[in-house]
Amino acid sequence: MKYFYVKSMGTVDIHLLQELCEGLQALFPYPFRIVQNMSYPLYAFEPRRSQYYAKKIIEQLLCEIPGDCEKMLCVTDVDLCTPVLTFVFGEAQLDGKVAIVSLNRLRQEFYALPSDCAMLKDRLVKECIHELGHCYGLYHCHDSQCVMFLSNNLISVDNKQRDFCDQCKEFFRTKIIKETHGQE
Amino acid sequence: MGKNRILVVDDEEIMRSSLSDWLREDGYDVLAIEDGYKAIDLVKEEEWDLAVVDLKMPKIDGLEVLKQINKIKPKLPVIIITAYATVDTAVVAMKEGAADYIVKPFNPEEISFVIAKLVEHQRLVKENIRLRRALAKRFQFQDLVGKSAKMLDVIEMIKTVATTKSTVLIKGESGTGKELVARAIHELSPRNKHPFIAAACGAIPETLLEAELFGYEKGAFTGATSQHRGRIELADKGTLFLDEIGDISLKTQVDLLRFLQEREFRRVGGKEILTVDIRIIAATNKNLEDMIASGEFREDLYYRLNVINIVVPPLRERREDIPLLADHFLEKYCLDTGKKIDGISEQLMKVIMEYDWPGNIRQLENTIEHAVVVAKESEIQKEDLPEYLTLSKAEVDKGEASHSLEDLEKKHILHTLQTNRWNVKKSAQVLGINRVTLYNKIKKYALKQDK
Repeated sequence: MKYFYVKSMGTVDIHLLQELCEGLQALFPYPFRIVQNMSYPLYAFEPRRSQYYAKKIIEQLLCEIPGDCEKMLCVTDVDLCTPVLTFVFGEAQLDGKVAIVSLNRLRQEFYALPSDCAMLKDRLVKECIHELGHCYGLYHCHDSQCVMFLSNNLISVDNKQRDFCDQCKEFFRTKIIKETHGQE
Repeated sequence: MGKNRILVVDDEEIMRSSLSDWLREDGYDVLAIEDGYKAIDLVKEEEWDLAVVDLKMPKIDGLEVLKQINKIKPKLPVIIITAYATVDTAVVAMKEGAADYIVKPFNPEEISFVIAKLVEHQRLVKENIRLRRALAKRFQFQDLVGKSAKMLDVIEMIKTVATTKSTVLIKGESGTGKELVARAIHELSPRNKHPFIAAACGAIPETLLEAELFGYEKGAFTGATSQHRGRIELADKGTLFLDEIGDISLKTQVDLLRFLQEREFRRVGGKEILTVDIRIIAATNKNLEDMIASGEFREDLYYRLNVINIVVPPLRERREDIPLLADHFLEKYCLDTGKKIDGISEQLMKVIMEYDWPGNIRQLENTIEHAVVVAKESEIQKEDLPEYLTLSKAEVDKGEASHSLEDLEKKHILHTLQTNRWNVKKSAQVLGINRVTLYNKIKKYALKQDK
């Protein structure tokens, strides 16, 4: 039996994680397991930018993957970046096992706006589906309504749906079938 | 449709992997390398849609890589990236033709927009090349290329006369494509399964022309060791193309006239009367009416030949066809030489659009062939043209106030002969005319080699 592991890193509300799993369940055909981890990934901290390198966290998580893990999704409240980008909402291994999404820039508060839990949850679900899509080999989609559309700002995150477009859905479905058969 | 290909050049491994991972998620095919020299080689050898080059690298800096790429593939967009941005380097990069200059780390929105914009631009550039080639084919009729009104009239005339048996006289300057018109008529005619036989009357010595056209019997003259069928016989059921008809002697004109009147002939030295079913197409670059007036050409033969008259315009009167023709010859010589050249630079196009082309299409074809052979970049450049085309007007004029067209032609021919050490064959090739025409011009202008 394979599981989707949803792992928190830093300060992440458990209720938000539970709601996230409910949101993901509609698309991903595996049971979810939540693992809470309160510590911060200091090994990935970049002091000059006061941010955390997403790829370093992914590399560390890869070393911690349980044997029954289908994919591991990490949710953190730290601000993520890459060496070439000023920030990322999330990062994933293309056709790999691990993805990470940051709550930091998905929160209204980051932009000095009043907090909105429903909005945060909606954005988190979308970005998690997006990053997990990369783990299944999906590229960015040109359809701005598709969850695989590249979002560099909250307007485009809010604008897209929580679902794949027909083309991405077909690719994803085929991939899941292939992987399931591969395991058998 | 294949993925767009991006070449990333950065000496820092972490930058390479980070940028290429991100670009791959966006669906690009990415190759990330650390060495600028290798990047230059890869640009020479492979097709790319975009290059992203780091400014500061140990072996060769990004600006030098940019310069080299611009020489090899001027249409390939290059983004210069740097963690040490200065106004000076930004200005230099943009002057050297960088498509953009971006500071690391990038704002994801900015880099996404820039890359998407450049890749789309590159797609349009490629589509433009493809469409221009398709357009050249669209305006290709048999081997004739043109969309000018004058050329479309010629093509219309070809279609009209092809189905008839009438004799056709094609008039036009040397190198305008008179033989191609004749071949097109033949190909569209019901005779197209039978031979198309061409005889360049001006190139065959007068003493041999009669035997060459009508054939001869064994023993007809010294050296006639066996029976020989002439071109008229060989063209039976097909088309006989008599090129440079204005160059034949009065004696041969009489023989030809008799044949045209009676459609019967005898081989030289023969008694048997032979008949053939041929269509005659004649061509000339001379003014036959003037020759009739001066007694050099028979009027009765002229009217026999001039049943249908097609005038092929000189290239200077159909300048709008030059880009199509140039693209057509570019494709032809890329195939011949195996070179991969995408197009013609704007500067070169300007030169060939402004030139008068005394040797017409043949000269243009030779010019493009020359440019393809010497080209080192993905576009043929002005520098790839033969020298005489790129001399400035001042150099050509050099202290002389005015010239008639004939003066200019004389000077140009003399210059070409001197440049080629009076090698007539080579000079004729450069001028885009045949040797006979060049000999005629040398005679006309009394050109002499300095001893």
